[in-house]
Amino acid sequence: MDPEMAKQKVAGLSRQQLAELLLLSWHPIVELEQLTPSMVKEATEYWRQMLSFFERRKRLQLGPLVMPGATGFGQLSQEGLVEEKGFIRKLEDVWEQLKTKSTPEGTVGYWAFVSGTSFTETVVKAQIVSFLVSYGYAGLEEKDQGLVLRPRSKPQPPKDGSPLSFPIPIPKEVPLPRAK
Amino acid sequence: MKPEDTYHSEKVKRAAHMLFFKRGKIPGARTWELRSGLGKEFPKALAQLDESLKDLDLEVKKVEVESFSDSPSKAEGLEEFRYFVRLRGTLTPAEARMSGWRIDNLAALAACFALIVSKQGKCERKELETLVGSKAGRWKALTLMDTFLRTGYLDEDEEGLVKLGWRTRAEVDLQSLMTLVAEVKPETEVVSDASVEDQDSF
Repeated sequence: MDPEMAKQKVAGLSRQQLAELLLLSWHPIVELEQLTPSMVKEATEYWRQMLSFFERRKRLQLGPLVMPGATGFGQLSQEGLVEEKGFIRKLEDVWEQLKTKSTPEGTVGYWAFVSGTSFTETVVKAQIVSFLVSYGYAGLEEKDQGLVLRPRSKPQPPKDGSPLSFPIPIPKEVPLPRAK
Repeated sequence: MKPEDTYHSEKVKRAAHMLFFKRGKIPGARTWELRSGLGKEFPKALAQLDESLKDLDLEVKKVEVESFSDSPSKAEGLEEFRYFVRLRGTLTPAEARMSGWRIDNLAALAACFALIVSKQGKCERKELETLVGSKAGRWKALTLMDTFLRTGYLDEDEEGLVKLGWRTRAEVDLQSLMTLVAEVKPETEVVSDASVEDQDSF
């Protein structure tokens, strides 16, 4: 096999294939390691000869070294790496919003409440509302062929667990609340 | 049991100790070490050991040593070999992974062997790094090349040319590998630096 053909073969074969081919031709040596004076000497030489981190980094041609900097909680939260608020705290906030926005009859239109400025915001709010309903912080009712939320002053968790599951699909374009 | 049998079984045990336990950088034992430890009839003890190891899927492997200036037998003009105990059969991918080998590393090693053998035993390091980089990612290629050189799979001469190391000569059936590489149908795969996990396990 000439070098060009070998390169083409290697390029064409997957890593898994190459590894399996080697395994079929490979008979590893059995050796029991012992700590001997020559091994200690070898280890000492290894660490002594090892280039510094900066020398080794130079070989990788990574360009100038950017030193690590500090970041804030706000930035991490913005990038979705940490939750700005605990989940329970979020539930309580949305529960408060629900109570504030409820009509004198004590209800809020479901879509009017969960709709946000973006689809993501809507989905997040709908998820929290689903927890509020499941934990008994609010009730979900059908009214005038629409869905309404009824916040409760005190959570009333269902004693027998949730008797049914009620999936609500969220379209990209959230339905407008019904005009009164 | 005859006294002669006991004598032989003692020799086989000593041969096993000499081949299994690593005493220096390289495992196994050289001809002159075995001769001084077991006597002139050491090949008989090794043959007996090889027979006993069959049940364990192991074997005694004799490899010609390229140069050992400090070896007494070399000075006496005798042939110099190193003897190892190695796996008689082969490992499954799962067994190789359990021994700390990653698929990426094995693939990179196979790629190195294929190129070096196709170039009649010597190849520029840069060329190997490029080839390994295409399989394992550029960053990992540099680390892997160092590892292969350190563990004896590859060897680098003064001119910076890379050749097969002592461990490859002892462990790899290159003829079989090259036949397999030539015969197997390729399967395309796109690899980038980002797709390769950054992990060293050697």
